[in-house]
Amino acid sequence: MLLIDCPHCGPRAELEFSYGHEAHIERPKAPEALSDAEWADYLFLRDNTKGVILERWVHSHGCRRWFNVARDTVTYEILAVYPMGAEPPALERKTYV
Amino acid sequence: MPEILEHHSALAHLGLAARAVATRDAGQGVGLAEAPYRAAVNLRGRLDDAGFAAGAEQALGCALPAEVGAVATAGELSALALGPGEWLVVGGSDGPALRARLLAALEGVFASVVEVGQQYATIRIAGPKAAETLQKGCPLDFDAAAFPAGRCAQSLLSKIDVLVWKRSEEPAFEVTVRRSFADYAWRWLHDAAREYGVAILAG
Ligand SMILES: [Zn+2]
Repeated sequence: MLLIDCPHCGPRAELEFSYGHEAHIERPKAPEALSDAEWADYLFLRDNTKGVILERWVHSHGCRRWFNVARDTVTYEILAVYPMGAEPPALERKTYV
Repeated sequence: MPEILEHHSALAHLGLAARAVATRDAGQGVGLAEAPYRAAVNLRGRLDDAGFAAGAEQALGCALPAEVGAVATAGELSALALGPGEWLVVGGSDGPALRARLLAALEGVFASVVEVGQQYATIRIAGPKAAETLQKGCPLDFDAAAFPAGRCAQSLLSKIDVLVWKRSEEPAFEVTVRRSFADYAWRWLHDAAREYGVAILAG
């Protein structure tokens, strides 16, 4: 189980949180102008990174606030926690084959 | 006067008063009690808004705690910091009066004041094995060093949402749950505490 460092409550067990999937996916400004392929890309297609992923979590059974997490999907190590709306911090990204 | 139904115990069907004893025996590790109804208001606003901070302080008699998990107390009222910009104000037995007091002090201020006391039930768990009992179903660290007096935390207890408050240095916690989960929470706690010896105490 992950120990997630909520920016408001401190380190808490993963079961208190809900997962919000990949972060920084911007809703298209003019969805009516998109092709079906572009719309599908926005809705469904994710990077499925092997390595550092930027993702959203909500402390649903604690303070109920959303925040972003940078996590390595190979080691499960959480590298950074940062607020919604903020740019991700500079991170050293290991590469995997 | 008709009975005020909203203040009816959520555990009345268990007949706890008739089963209660005065004190926990030395051999019993846990005492359980249902706390009586208490007024509660969910208060939201921005602490960096001077009008909100001052209005709340005037109504409560103490400043709202900023840090999540902190509790500020003045007289019978306490403000438990549930999240950034969110508090549960509890105390006394008159919910509408507590709500009115906060509303009056926050007139014209960007804030939310919602009376919520009747949706909660609170169970008091005390004794040398109280922390161990809670630990069986909750991932919070109940050790006195990690969860000192005057702190609260929200988490899960055997899958249900709980607000846990350690009010004093005593090995005792107040566990607040949604009213409809009171029966489940009571039975779970009673069962979890059985191996330590459990006394039902008067609220
Ligand atoms: Zn939190």
